[in-house]
Amino acid sequence: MNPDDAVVYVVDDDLSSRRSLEFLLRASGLNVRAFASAKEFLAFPRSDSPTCLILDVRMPGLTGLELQGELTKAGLHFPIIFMTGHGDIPMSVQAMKAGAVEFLTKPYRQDDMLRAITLAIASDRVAHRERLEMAELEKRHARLTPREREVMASVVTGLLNKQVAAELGASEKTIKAHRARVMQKMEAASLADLVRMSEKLGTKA
Amino acid sequence: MSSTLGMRIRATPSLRNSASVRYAVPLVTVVGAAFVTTELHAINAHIPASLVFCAAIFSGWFGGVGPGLVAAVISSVFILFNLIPSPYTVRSLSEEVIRVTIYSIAVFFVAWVSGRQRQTEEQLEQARNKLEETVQDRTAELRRANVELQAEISERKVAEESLQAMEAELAHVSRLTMMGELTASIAHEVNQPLGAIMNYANACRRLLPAHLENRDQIDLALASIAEDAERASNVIARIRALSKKKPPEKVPSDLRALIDEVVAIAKYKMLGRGVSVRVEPGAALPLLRVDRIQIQQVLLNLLINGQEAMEAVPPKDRIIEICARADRSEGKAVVIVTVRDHGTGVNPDDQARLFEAFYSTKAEGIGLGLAISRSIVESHGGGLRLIPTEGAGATFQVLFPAEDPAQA
Repeated sequence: MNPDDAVVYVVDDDLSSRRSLEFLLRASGLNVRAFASAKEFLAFPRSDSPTCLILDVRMPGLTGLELQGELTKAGLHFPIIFMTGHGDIPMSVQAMKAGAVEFLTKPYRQDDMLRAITLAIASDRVAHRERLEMAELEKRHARLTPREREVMASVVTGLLNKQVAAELGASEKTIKAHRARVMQKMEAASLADLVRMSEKLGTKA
Repeated sequence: MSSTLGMRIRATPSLRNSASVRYAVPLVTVVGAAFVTTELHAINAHIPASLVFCAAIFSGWFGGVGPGLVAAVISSVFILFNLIPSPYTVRSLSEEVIRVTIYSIAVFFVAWVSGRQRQTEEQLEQARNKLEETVQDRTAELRRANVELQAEISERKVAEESLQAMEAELAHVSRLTMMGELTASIAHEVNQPLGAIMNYANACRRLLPAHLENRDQIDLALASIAEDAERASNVIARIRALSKKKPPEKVPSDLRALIDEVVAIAKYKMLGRGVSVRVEPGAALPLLRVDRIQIQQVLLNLLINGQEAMEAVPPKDRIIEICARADRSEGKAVVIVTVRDHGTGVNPDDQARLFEAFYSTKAEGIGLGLAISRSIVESHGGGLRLIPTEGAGATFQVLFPAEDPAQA
């Protein structure tokens, strides 16, 4: 159903639970990576692709909820689907508040699980695209010299070259050259494009 | 044995204790000896007066110091007046006086010594008798104490036995409690493989090639595997819910649905014992604000009691009838559930104590089922009682108030 690069991560300490889910998801055409513990999952070198994380709530070592907390702290926002052997309402409320997309009681119906995964991956695909775009912008921005960054910051506020030159204490000609290099390095098609990029970088910073 | 010996020893001193006997016997002895001696002197004057001397010594021994001295005086007087005027005497008067005096002193001394000895002997005997009595008394005391001790021991044994029985019961209760607490983890352990079975079956359905021979049948079988695993998991979820420890939560509930769920849980046990459970259909009931788990516990308890009461009746009679209906009691709307079995019924002697805690008519029973059930129903503002039954068996009636759910 997702014949692309999306990956589903499964973390469940119970062998039969984990293997059977892995088997079901593979049979459903998904890329699956399964781990027996939160530690194993954290140690795995993950590729940056649309993803979704399926966690068992109760596990020895780091529990599902604790792993959720760790990931949030590290700035990693996986869409998480929780599984639990017990229909524990307070626990599910806590998980959903912390950003879980679904909370399923074992044994779950396959349709519920697959639907949750589809939704989670779709939402992460959007987030993933933004993540990629952001990374690209940051890469371009990192290529600018300090002077070019100053020029860019002034230009996007709507100042003319002359005004920028006065502000930065340089000749208008020099500013014009800087500006051309900024547009080139940031791969901006127009000033409006550059302003949009700047905004994105600004909200991130 | 020792007591009869004591009696014999005591008999002699009692005779001798009387003063008249103690004085009369020496007197008679000495006078008798004097008489015999006198008679013998008539035959032969050379026969010495030793017999009188012996009598005096005997008196001292028999009667003690007093009678001994009396006998000595008498014997001395006798010898003085009877033997001195002997026709064969050639000795002078002074010689005679000295002889009699020495004799008297000897008699006095011997009488005194034997009297003292007698006295000592008597005292010894008295002490011995006293000791004997004391021993007897002590023995009797000991015997009484022993009897008391025996009674205490048997009392203690009875107490220990009942304590052991209580301990066994307590162990049983705690085992059951432990099982209840374990249910959560058992449910978890069983649910994991059940979930895996569902996953594998569903995955296989996805992997079935489109043009496989008998594909539809294989697909149906795989779907059934997944469904049955889910059904098993639902059973476990219900049992887990029953044993879960949580504060009562009263929610509007349909009593009929609760009855159906309980019958489903108990179905296998009932079938295994040849019991058929009949739930009478009836009109719709008003919703009751009850704790579902607790009410299911009450109903389940009544079902199991009914089943156990019918173990001795022929299989065709093993029927439990459950009936629920809306009614009015004392002007108030109520819902009444009756659970009737066709078992041995409740013995009239047991009826009064039936709902008491730890009172059980079953060999294996703990006696908590009905007590807990009643307290649950009462906490819902209702009542649980045994009502008269036509024919064999017992009928329990559970009554719930239907109006004003806030009060329930």
